[in-house]
Amino acid sequence: MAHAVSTVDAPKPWSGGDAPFNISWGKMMMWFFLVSDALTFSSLLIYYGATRNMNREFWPNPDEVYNHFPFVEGHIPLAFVSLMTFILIMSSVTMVLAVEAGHRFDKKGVVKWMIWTVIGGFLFLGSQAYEWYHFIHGTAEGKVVEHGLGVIHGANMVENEYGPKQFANLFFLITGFHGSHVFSGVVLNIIVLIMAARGVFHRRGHYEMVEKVGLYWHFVDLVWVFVFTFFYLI
Amino acid sequence: MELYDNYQPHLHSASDPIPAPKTGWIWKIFWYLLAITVIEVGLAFANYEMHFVSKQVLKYLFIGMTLLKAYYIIFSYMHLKDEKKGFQLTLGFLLVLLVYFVTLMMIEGLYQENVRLIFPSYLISDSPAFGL
Repeated sequence: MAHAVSTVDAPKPWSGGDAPFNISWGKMMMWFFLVSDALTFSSLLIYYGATRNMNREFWPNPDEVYNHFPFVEGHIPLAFVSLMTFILIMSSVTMVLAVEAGHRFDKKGVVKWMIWTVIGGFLFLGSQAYEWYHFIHGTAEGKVVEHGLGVIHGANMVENEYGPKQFANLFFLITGFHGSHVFSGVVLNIIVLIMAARGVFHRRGHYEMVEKVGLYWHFVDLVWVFVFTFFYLI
Repeated sequence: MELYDNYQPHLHSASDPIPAPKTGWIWKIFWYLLAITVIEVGLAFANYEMHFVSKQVLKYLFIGMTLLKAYYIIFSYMHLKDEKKGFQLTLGFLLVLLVYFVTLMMIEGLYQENVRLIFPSYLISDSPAFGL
């Protein structure tokens, strides 16, 4: 204890005015936001799993629902969502390359890789629009219902041709919630791209803002990895 | 503001020479992620065509591979492995809640299954909220 008295004036990491985790508050709060967002997405996905399990006999096989591919006639299961996964992983790679360029204070590198990231984001959003279009419009044959209601084509919030009502509702909810995250991520990426191109971060002396939007963008990719598994693979 | 401003990332000045990029590890992780995804899709597609293994086995395999991908993204691409151990644990402890939630829903799912075994006419899918 005598030793402790002698160091009473030395700064202690948790006594305030310091960053004990050696991380700036902006980046730390981004991490905490992402954890809370992860809990939201997890709740949705866990509820999806539980509902699916309770309706096992009626739940459609995802391979037979999502089997369209642009410019190709006929049905190819899994191909299009695999392409979407590849697009998002690729844009995650370009994002981490932008962060790496920011660490080296390389403005041209940051701008180049941020442009690729934004392109990847738009490609993904377009793919999702295509996916939703085919889900909503359904197949030509549709599903014949017996209650005199005729034939159901595609899906909406009230009825769908594939299976239980909850199947379409959860698809819209979860992929829509993820899509809105991708959209806001693209908006943030564009803002940071413009700021980087105008030299704001260069004058500031560091590119930490690229790291912060990078964290958000990787999180969006991470959520898609789980959505891909639970909606399309299983 | 001063209280929070004393942590600064490493500051550069515009006259510093730009070092050469070190991107080898980024592409290595990219190939890992791509390989896992290709294996996943390959297994799912092969099983859809040939049904060589039960969907239950594949399900746990896919969840395991997904967690592996999540590990690579979080620890490498989001640089969590470079943060302090205490910070990693601060984030990790919050996710323990999910283990509880999954367990809860599995118990609830067993209950629903028993209800249906006892009352075969009671199908969740017939109720308005779950209707076909």
